[in-house]
Amino acid sequence: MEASLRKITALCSKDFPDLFKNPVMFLSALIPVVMMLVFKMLYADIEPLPGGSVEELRAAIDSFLLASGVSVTAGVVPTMIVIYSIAEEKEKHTLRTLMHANVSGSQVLISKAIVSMTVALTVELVLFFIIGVSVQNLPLYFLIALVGTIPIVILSLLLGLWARDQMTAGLVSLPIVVFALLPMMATYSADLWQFARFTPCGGMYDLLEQLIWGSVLTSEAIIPLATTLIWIIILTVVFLFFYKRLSRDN
Amino acid sequence: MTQPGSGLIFADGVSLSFKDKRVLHNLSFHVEKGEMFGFLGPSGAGKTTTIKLLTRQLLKSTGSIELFGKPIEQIINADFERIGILSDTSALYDRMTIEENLLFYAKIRGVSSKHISSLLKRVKLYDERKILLKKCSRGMRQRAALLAALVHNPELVFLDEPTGSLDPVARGEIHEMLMELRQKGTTIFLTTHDMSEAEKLCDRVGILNEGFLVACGNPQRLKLAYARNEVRMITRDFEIIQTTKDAAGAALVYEQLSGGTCLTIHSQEPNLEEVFLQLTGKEF
Repeated sequence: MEASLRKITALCSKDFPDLFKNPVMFLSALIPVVMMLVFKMLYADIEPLPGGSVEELRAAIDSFLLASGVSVTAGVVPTMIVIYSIAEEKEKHTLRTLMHANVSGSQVLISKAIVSMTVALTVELVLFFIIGVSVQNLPLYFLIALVGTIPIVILSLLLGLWARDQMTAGLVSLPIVVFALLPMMATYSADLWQFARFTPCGGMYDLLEQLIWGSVLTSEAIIPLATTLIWIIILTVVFLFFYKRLSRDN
Repeated sequence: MTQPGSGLIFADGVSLSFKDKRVLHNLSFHVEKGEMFGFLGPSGAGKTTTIKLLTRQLLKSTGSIELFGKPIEQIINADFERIGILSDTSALYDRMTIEENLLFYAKIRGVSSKHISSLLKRVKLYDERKILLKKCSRGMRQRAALLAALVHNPELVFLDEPTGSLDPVARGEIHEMLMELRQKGTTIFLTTHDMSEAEKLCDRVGILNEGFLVACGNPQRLKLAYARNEVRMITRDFEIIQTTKDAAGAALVYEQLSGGTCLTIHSQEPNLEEVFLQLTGKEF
């Protein structure tokens, strides 16, 4: 146990500084921040429609920005950090060298998950302050973002194991990004929303909107919360099922 | 001595098949503690596959393997900490310096980083320690990868073609390091397709051909075992006389020696490449 923790700590201490040396990973963390800054500027001077209140408009914009920002972060950051870095380790044979140094596949995956979750949550925290939502929402926001990012991290670990090189990583990460952005795109289509709310990021998107509208601690939150938890369970089972085979083959 | 429990590595009747294709056939050999054992053979002979079996990266189809006196199935993580592996594709991190890479592997192995400077000096990489790995030459990378495999001072080291595609200077530096390691008592299992490297470095060699171990022993003894029945003399007139190791040959040699015309006289021994040719009927 002690040796395992030591190895995971060493792997994390290698991967964190690497984020700043690898342009792909650094950009992936920057994209949601830049995107929210642009959105924030776009919505800065918007006025309520006749008869509408400023508070309602503010809440509508905040809920859209918050949910979209976290979805983009959850879709882009773990995908880029986990899938690309595992694929890069395979392609450049550094993963094999790690295995020769008695590092197990699970230790590598845990360290990648820790790094990607930490970066995603840091970016999500930055977004919270950029959007300027009341600080009293922060604990619940953090909890929803944390739980909502987990399905994408598990999916990224699975696809990271599957991808043999960085080119394949690019190919397999695209559907995850699209799936993560689907709830945001569904804002413009009620029909699409009926599907998007049940995607891996759909539950989280719904919960974040409810956070701003004040309904997150009511029964309305049950379905999106259950959706997110079911995705975590399904993806964990799928991951465990494929882990041994993929880690042996790839 | 090829019985269970003998040596640091013991393999008995080991075979491996991939689906219907048998790639290793009934390999039996052992490696003593502190010995440098070379596994020789052309590309595709099964050298890397054997290392993979010995380090449990692959599972044998039949036979038995022991490491440190234990069946390989009972080898635990703590035993693997006593092993260092350098594969033909071992690679360190490009975006880290040589020193950062070694510090990282010291952390992974849970050993002090104090000896890293002396390791770097030993392979003449100390002055280059702050260079990013991506800017290093192939020889520098290979030496750094070797250090990463040795950073925890392992008792047993598996080296798969450690000098493959290196220039003669870099190869010589690696050879020096390996000889130092052997003097310290480290057991080394080395694969190479370079016969002269094996002759120079190894206490014993195993010659592998198409998955069969065709010969095993001390390189000198192998060469003597396959020595030609020939004696070669060079006279003072630089004439080359070849004769056989029999009564007729002895008479000719005596004649040249007693006549004072013989400048040099050699028993013609084959090198390992010629031994391989004799054993397999194939050029190496």
